Amino acid sequence: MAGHEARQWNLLKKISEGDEDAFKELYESTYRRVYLYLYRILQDRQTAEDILVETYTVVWKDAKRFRGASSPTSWIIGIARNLAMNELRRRQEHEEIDEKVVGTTDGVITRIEDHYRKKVLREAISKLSVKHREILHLVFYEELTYQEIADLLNMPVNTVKTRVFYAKETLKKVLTEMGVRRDEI
Amino acid sequence: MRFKEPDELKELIPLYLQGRLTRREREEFEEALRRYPDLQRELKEFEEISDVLRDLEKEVPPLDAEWVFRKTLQRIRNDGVIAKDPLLKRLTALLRGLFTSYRLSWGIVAVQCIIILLLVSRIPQNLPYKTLTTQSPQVTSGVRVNVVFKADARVEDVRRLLREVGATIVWGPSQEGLYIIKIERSKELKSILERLRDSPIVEFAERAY
Repeated sequence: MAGHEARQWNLLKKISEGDEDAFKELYESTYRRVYLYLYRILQDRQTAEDILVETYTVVWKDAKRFRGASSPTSWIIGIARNLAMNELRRRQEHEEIDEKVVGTTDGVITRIEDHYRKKVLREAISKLSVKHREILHLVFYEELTYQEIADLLNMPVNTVKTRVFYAKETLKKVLTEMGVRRDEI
Repeated sequence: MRFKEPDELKELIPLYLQGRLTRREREEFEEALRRYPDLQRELKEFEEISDVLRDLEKEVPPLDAEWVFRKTLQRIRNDGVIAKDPLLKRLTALLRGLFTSYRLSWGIVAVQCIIILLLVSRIPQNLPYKTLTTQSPQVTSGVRVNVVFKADARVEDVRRLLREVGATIVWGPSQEGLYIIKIERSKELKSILERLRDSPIVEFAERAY
């Protein structure tokens, strides 16, 4: 277990005993990642902030239930994920949550001119479904292993791999739809 | 040694980028990169998506972390999840437990019954009760007269007047300020009544029947 992870374990133990200082320390060491994750899938600052408040309220209440099946940060992101998905369901956006399986498109991204490529990619990512944005965030930003993501999302590792594959393929398809021709790449 | 297939190698891309492969796995992966153009393209795509996501971080609206933390604490306190002071928290939990306990309610009822029984059992059977009420005045001689003195009448003036007419107070005052006085010289009733009525300290004077 890494040093900071052990420290977070210890903080959670103290939080379960009602230690507010420990709660503040854990918040300060994790809120940025949790907020980025929430913003990535919700795409709305106000809602991300509200869910962040709810997330840490649950962290305080459930600290004693943390058993260490994942790292403390992954556990917190898992709580944030559940709350965010509930919010999305509440907004009846479940059609967008559903995974869309699309056909593959051959290598799309590699040769786009650097500045233009990033602009296009940003726009393309924002057009992805929540689940695809989420899986890309967890793999490429959080740098979690497939096993860690499987634990977090409560799904088999092979499903995680499939979802990563389809997320990338969908991204390529969106790029094609945005008019990025293969000869531009 | 068995070389991994390209599909297996693709699964290792995130671990390669995160530096989580062992030295041997990394060497095998880099060797495969030279042999498989598809793997190179896949790696490039991963790197680019990773770069874009990191770039996007700069575009995420800033968060007032301190404000969010304060709001969280306020929410927790409002929800009653914590009390501000740990001692207060324990006390609150204790009181909440007491006041939501059926046993406590029945206990209070039992104690009240015991107190009532103790009080009743200690009351003497032949208690001489004293009250603030009086029986009707029993006047055996003289004539009774109802008198109301003025509100600003002084006590000494009232006494002097009563002495002058030979009267004594037998009852009063009532809530309305009514007195009953006894006049011994009943034959002089008429003149005494006039004397009383003419007095500046008397509001009302009339024979009582």
